Amino acid sequence: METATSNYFELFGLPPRFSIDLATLESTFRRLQGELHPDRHVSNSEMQRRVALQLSTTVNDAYRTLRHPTSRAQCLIDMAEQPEAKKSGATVPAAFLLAQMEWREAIESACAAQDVLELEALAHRLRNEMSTQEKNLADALDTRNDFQSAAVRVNELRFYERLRADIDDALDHLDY
Amino acid sequence: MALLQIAEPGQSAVPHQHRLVVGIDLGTTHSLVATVRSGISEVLPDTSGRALLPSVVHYSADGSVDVGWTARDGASKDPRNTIVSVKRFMGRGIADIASIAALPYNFIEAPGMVKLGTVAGELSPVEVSAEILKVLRQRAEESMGGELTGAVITVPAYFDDAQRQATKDAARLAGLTVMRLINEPTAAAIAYGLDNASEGIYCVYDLGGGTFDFSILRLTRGVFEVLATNGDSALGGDDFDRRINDWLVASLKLPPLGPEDARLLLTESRLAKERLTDVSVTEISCTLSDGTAASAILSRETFNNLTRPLLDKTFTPVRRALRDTGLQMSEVQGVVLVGGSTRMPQLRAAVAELFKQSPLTNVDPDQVVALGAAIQANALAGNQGGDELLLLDVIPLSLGIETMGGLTEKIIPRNSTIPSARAQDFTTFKDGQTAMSFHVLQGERELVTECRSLARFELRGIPPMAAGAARIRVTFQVDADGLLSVSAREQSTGLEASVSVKPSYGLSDTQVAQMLEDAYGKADIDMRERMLREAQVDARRLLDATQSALAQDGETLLSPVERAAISQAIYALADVIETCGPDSLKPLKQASEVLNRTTQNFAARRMNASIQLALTGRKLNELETLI
Repeated sequence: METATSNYFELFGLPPRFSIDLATLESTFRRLQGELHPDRHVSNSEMQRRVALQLSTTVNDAYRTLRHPTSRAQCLIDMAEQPEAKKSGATVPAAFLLAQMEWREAIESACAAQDVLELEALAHRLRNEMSTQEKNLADALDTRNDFQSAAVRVNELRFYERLRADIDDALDHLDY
Repeated sequence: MALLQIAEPGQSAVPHQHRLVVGIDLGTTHSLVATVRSGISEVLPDTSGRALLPSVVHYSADGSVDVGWTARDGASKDPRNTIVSVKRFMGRGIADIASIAALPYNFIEAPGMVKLGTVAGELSPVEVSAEILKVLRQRAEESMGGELTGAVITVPAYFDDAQRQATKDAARLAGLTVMRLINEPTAAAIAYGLDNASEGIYCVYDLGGGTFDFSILRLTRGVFEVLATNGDSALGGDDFDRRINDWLVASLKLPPLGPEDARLLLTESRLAKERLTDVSVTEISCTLSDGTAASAILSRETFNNLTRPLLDKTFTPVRRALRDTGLQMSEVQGVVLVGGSTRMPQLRAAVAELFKQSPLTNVDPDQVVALGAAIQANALAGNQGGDELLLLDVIPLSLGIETMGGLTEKIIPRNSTIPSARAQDFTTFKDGQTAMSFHVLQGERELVTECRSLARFELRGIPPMAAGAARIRVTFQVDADGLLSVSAREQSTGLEASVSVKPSYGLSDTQVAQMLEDAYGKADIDMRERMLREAQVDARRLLDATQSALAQDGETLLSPVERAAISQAIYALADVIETCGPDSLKPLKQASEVLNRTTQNFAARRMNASIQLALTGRKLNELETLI
């Protein structure tokens, strides 16, 4: 089949940059689904419906990828076709890993104490850390074109995301 | 909007017929049917003017089936054969059903879904639900004066794949064409949002008879985008009745009750709960089958204390959904209350306290879901004018696959917007391995045993290779109804072997055909003829759709050669339709498939053109006039 577009940024008519206007992304998403969503093609031919379903699915995937900072950054790194950035990106600084262990201990002890307020405070602190990290990413990707260091930042963000999921799981576990 | 309706140039000459479509709320305690008439969504009442149909089905020894009010009123006389709240058993096995011992039914373990033993034989919850849908269908057809062409049916947002599949099967069994399954809170949001021209972040708190849903939506000019949904598919108003029931049994020190008395006491409990919405103290009094008088005074305060844990239980899904969106409580513009159970004063107060704002109650909590479903049905049928209604819904529970050590690997996470597809590669772990088995699961927990098993299937015929050399791509696709299909394909050798699965709780097409045959008898419906008629209708629709697409975009998007090829396929199909005889089923399907294949690139280019237009923010016909 003739494909619509080569990458997610193009599909949304966005320049391939880390800093994007979320409001534009959202409204383009709604406009695209307004054309492509299966509900819009109920009375069309089966082929048209199949194509629409496929494209609508792609738009949903693209939207989710671009909306989240980690996957958006990864998308840009993949597009840059710098193999070193891809494979060596895993080496996160030792100091960062040490800080990770402290986070994990804090979550575990709050969890053991069933301290919902402490867990929420940790989640709040984590959000701040993550937004700082996103600023670093914007700097690496959009200003310095340093994909190597961007790859490290992305991996660090993934650590934070895992911490975030752990906090959510702990809260879920406490039925909160 | 009252605009003159003018045909667009080049569009199909066939005038658009107003299709008879409805929205159906198949509820735990009540069901409703609604439609859009002259632009207004309205519930269709029965001949006595009642909008609600109690979801109660009574089977008699003489073979007759009674649905609704009389069935409900007689429930305690024949509890075993009067099925109340059947929705709680849809897509469920015996182990899933809470407080099964207290229910006056003869449950029978069956593969996939529990069955109920009645005087009419062993019945599946799908068959019982179909009886309710048949009555609603008949009500709609009598009121609208014609055969229905389609229906949108609502399901709790937190229903899993098995429960959705069961609902769709019930509709098919009742002779309904399901245009879409939509989530109850989303339907409610449509009716509420369009009525009040709301914009922003809205929550729907939907406590029905047997299910609890909580959804967070962003409303933007006709677009209803679900951001997160959560809930409990086994928590509802029925549980509040049961708390009163248990309190009665304990405080009156009643001995274990037979099915008649158990049903009687439950009914009295429900009535007392309903009375406590308006008064602060009520008396419960009834006479048990052995002549014992059972009476007690229940105050609103006691009732509140008895049921406070249930209310708290609904707040866990609320907090989880908010966490998933990353939104703060203060960003919520309004909370819409849906479901008869939200009439309870203590519930309204507790919701107001949690959200620090009064919930919105200017909708009828019983009707709003059916009204929203009717609006969506109307939009899908193409009956509405220029209104741009669009629903973007999500899957409520993560979908995954079993990996080593009894763990679940998530493939599509919860709250993914549908339609959605995700693929994951797996490999063989033994040299020369030629088969691989897959176990499809739904749920949030890590352990396989704590998730719901949806399906198991095997991929055979993998060419023997060294361990780890085969690359098997498993693709999960969730359609716009929220239903899952899974396929697996071996990729490293280019050999294609794929298999699609249906959830193990769903019924196969042959099972449905068998049930239809059992229900109608052979004389009534000839399945072959029915299939032929459907294929004819589909083929005509395909012709119409292709011709109107050609007229619109054929000149701009196709070369003369491509146009000629499509025209040829059109003539071929038209010819088969024209000369249709009793053996035409196969030729019809073949000619339709040829036409479909011939238009593949055309369809893709049309969609690409729409994407470009969506990006520039203009409509197709606007652009044409610009050129």
